[in-house]
Amino acid sequence: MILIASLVVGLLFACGVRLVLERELVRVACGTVLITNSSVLLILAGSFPERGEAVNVQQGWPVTDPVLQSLALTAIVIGFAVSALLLTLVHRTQRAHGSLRTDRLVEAEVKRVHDTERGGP
Amino acid sequence: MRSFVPPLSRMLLWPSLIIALSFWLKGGGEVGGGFPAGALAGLAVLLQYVVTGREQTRRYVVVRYAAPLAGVGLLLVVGTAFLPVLAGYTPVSLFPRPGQPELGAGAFHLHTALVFEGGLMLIVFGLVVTVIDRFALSTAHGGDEGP
Amino acid sequence: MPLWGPLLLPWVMACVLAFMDGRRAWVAWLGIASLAATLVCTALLLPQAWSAHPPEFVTGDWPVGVGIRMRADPLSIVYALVSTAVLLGTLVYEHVAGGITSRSFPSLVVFLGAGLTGVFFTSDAFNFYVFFELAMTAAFALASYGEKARNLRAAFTFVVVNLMGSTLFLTAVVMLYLTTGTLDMQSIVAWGQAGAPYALDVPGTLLLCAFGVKLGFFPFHFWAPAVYRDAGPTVAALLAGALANIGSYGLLRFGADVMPHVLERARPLLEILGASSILYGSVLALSRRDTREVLAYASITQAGLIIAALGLGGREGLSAAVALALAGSVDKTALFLAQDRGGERARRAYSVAAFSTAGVPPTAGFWSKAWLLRAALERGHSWLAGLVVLASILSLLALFRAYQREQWLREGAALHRGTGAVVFALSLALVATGLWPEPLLRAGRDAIAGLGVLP
Repeated sequence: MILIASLVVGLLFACGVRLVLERELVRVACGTVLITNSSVLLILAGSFPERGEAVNVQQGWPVTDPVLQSLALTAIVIGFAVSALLLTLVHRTQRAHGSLRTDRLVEAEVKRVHDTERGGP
Repeated sequence: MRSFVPPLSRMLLWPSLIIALSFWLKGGGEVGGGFPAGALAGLAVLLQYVVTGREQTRRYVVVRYAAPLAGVGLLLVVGTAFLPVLAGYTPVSLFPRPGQPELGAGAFHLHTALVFEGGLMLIVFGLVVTVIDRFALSTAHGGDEGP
Repeated sequence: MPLWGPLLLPWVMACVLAFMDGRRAWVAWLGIASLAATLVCTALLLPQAWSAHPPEFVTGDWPVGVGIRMRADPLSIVYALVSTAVLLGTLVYEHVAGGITSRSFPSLVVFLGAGLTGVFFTSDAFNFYVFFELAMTAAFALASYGEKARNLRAAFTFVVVNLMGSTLFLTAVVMLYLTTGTLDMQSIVAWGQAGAPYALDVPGTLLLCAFGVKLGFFPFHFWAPAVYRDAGPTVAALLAGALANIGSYGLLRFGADVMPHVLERARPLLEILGASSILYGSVLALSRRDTREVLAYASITQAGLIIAALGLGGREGLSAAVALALAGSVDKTALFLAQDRGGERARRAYSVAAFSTAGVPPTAGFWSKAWLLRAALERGHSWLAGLVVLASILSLLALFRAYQREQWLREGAALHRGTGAVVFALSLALVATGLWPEPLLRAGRDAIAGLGVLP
């Protein structure tokens, strides 16, 4: 079980990193969401060895660590808020630039630097 | 042929909101809590946006005032955390205190953690709906301008 | 003053401000007043924090381990004071410089203040993460302030890179919990003393990476120049002056207080990272033409100095790290704000802050650097001392080359009263500390003495 969990965490993280390195902003945003979720899964995987209920445990049944579950929930809430913020940012960037590709943004960047260096500050 | 999706989605709105409320009230003792409640309510509103469009969805008062609702939720969360201070307790004290008799029946108990969860639900709901609304607004505008 | 005062005040005020239109003058003044009140509340905690029993409470009166412990020792207090003061100065500057252009700006700055005081006062690893994310979220929203295309680009870079840092930090906190079975920092200290010396190495390394991203030293600095250049000047001042403090505070708190054995083993690594970051920052600062980029690289040098001081270790080194972080925070704010607008006072403030960054007496930067030099020489690491002196000279050159190129010097831009006053106050604080360094030195020494165990 723990092997599968760690493989999935690794896979999610790898996919996330791969997506962050893409050229399109939406994919970069999706990559960060995947990476956040891989860490949430890592938290949950910490409580896998002692599987059981976290709340309303009956006598004699296995108990799992409720702290890890609440940590995971908090991490989900925070990750959720930040992803919403990131998506809004992607959206505003798209409206400001008319493009979602990072190479276009880099072109705009280089042009600006070029202008300032030629035309004085 | 009329699609069955729009009437179905309209029928789904109120039940989902009620289930969200029950998630909120069950939280603490059972599976549930403020965050799933807010996320579920937000998803229900998202379905309305996708199916009927922004104008139709904004007829609901809850949707129009989503952003202030998030603010109210934040005030509720901060209030439950810090109002006990005024009565001389440490911050984030739970009322009724452990050992005091609880109000409520069955799985439902009345305590201040419920208010906290309610605040969390409002924050999540407000945030989701505000973000969706912003996207919906710009896609409506973006369609006119065209790429 | 009870400890919950400075925690409660910015929270409530930020929530209230969120309902109001921040572009109105009185709302901005309300935000300024709430930050000032937070500053006063924190300052009132000073005598208690310096007593034998620092103020602390456990939320909800639960036993320790169930409830979250909040605690204000001297290290927390000095960081909270300086960060809140920097936020206050920046908000005043933005308001008098020509008005706030965004509805939510004052509320977000106060939220950032709430997050920062929370981070500094918490004594629970996961609560640290929560407040840290609150501050980061406010900073993410602030980074795009200005709404120009370049601001948005800066914000995007900042958010993506720092999200990685946050993920690393979260992973480290969870590993700490899984290894030690507790999240309360003092219980982790007790666990660490009991044995298993190598158990905390992996979370320690992850924490170093996470705070490295926040602080922006050498291998983790790549976001800093792009963000500081393209974000607005006030936002850059907020990020470099206040938010970067989380990085140095986190390294001090988790390194020197919670996991001293890990810090002890990491010392050679920290020294190498610090030295390369000092060298890299000061050489690249010389090669840049854009003033903001020069300042960004100067801040990388500054981060390198803090890391090198941590690497030197011992009471002297750690105290030097605290002093460097505090002086550097005010320096960077003054530099970023002063290079934005013209005026006689801004010009003077820029020179003073540049002198302080380079470590020329009589400024606060001189004393913190002198302390670092002493620590380096006491350890017998004269190569590091030489590097610090070299970096000082290079920073001075770079900063004054930027000064010469700046338009406002050549054309003598119009004097702006309000903004001039803010940067003037910041530079005055730097000079005053330089002339009477006792408070800074005492803050550094006592902050370190307040930490739990030292090898």
